[in-house]
Amino acid sequence: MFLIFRKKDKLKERLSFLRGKKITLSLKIGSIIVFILLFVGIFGSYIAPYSAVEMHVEHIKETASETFLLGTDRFGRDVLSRIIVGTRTTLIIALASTSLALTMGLIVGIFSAYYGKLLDNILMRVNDVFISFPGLIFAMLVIGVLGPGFLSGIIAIALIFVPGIARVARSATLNIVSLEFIDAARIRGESALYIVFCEILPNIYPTIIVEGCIRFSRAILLSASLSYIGLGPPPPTPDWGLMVSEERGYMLQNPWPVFGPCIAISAAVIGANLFGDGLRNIIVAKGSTRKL
Amino acid sequence: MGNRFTIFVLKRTGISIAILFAMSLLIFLMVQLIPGDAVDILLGGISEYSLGHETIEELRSQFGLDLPLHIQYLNWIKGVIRGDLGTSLVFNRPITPIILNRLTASLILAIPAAIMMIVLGLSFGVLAGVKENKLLDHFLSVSTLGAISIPTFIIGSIFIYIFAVKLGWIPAAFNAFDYREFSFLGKLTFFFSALIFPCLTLACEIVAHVARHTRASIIGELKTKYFRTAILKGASPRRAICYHALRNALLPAITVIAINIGYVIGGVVVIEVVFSYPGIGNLVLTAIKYRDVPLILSGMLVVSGGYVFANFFADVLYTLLNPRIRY
Repeated sequence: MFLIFRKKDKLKERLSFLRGKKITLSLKIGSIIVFILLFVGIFGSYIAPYSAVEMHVEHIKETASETFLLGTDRFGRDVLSRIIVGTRTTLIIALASTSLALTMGLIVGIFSAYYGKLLDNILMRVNDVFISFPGLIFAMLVIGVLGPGFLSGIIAIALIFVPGIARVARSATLNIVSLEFIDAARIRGESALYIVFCEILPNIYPTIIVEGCIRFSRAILLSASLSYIGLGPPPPTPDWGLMVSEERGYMLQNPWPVFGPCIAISAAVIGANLFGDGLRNIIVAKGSTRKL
Repeated sequence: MGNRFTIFVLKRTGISIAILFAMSLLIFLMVQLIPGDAVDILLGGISEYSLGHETIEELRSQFGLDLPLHIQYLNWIKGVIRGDLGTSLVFNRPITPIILNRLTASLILAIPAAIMMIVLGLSFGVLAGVKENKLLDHFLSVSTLGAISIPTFIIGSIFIYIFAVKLGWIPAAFNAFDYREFSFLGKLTFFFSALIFPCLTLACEIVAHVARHTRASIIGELKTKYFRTAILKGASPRRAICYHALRNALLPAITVIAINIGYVIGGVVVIEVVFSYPGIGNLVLTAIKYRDVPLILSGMLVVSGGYVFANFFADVLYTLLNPRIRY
């Protein structure tokens, strides 16, 4: 009997680990929401019925109607379009800050655990100082220094996450670094970079991915809170938190400019949370049966 | 207890103080990066041209801004230890009474919320854990997930919308009341109505957090062998849970509680913004928006100090209560 290796066999083989694992309802809901989020984020400007910044001055503060599905805000901009295009703002900030934080945290954590002794001690003490700051307050200080805007929001949120991710990466690496195959690689003469990328990273990436997903949901929450208190992207950027804070005074006339973004933020955070939780259920089981 | 524990507490205190100093240095250095210094802010838009270079330099030296950085830092630290936190540029008053005022306001919000967190959070967590996968557990899990996922400003805005806008029970703004004229009962009702919703919104988030952690640890404890033994020995389910399992499940929960207390004292800027509550988070936010450097420094130091203290407390409490830890 021939075993002809085809490409789709490999895919099935890779995905076979999913067969016995608990794909809970929450994971399904979470993935659907995250997928919608990514889809709307990428194709937002093509889906939105109107432009997000165009002010229809004859239709200020209207309630939901046939032309404007969720009504207009105080400047006459269509609320639904602003929410749809605002997905991209939120997504960019959350994805960029999480990736930045993961990169920096992984570097600090893995190298700290790999080199050990003095470097580990110093880095962990510095880490403790940064962890001891309450999150939002530290972000406020960073944005105070850099000025409010897109990039400073990304940097601020990333800086909040780095100490936590470094800790997780360090403890995950510590579990592996004492094993013999690392020593074998070192004796073979492999460079430290090779060991980190090809020996350590493939063994800790499940934990890191789960941590990243959970941080992603927190990043959405943080970016919404930051723009609510006025330290996010400046108007007229369509940002969910900014919309909630700007339209608060007009809740009586048209509640949708406030509640539309509220629902969007809540759905995004809950979806990302569920996705991260579900992923953790799968990956923990997968990590334990995987051969090193 | 005894000697080893005291040594541990002293060591931990030393580490906390060192961390606090390092944080103060970090805050000071970061604030130095803010473009423009105190004199630029004071002068507002008056250009250098009209005032003359020398007047501005004189103002600078009057504020001590031309001294080298480490001297400025040491002067600030000396002032903090003495209790003098400087003068605010925005409010034009000494900072210490302002901070004490705002801190009291924040504590008035924080303490009822913390009590609710301990009582409700632990109860809900135990309930959800004991009745795992039944209807009550599903309901509690979903609501706690909602409470920690939905940002606090949304929950606060919903409260305001329902109770102030639609029902009219609580006035939406508290600007123009001269409460000194109210009777005692009037004052009580007034303060209660002002505090209840910020407190409830804050409590939502932290109760959910504690409940989720407690639920997870209780579920872990219910699977252990000693719990099964307790039931087999004839202990009633209530005694087995509340006396045996809860004691072990409380350990991680207490760490979460202590950290949340630290968060609630200084870190709730969002709730204070939603309800326009004059707490310390709002103070730091105003200071950052107006670039009031002395106020930023003092406010951040106080908030971070509270958080460091809460973490220290969590560590010591956990070590005290967990007989498995050797110190």
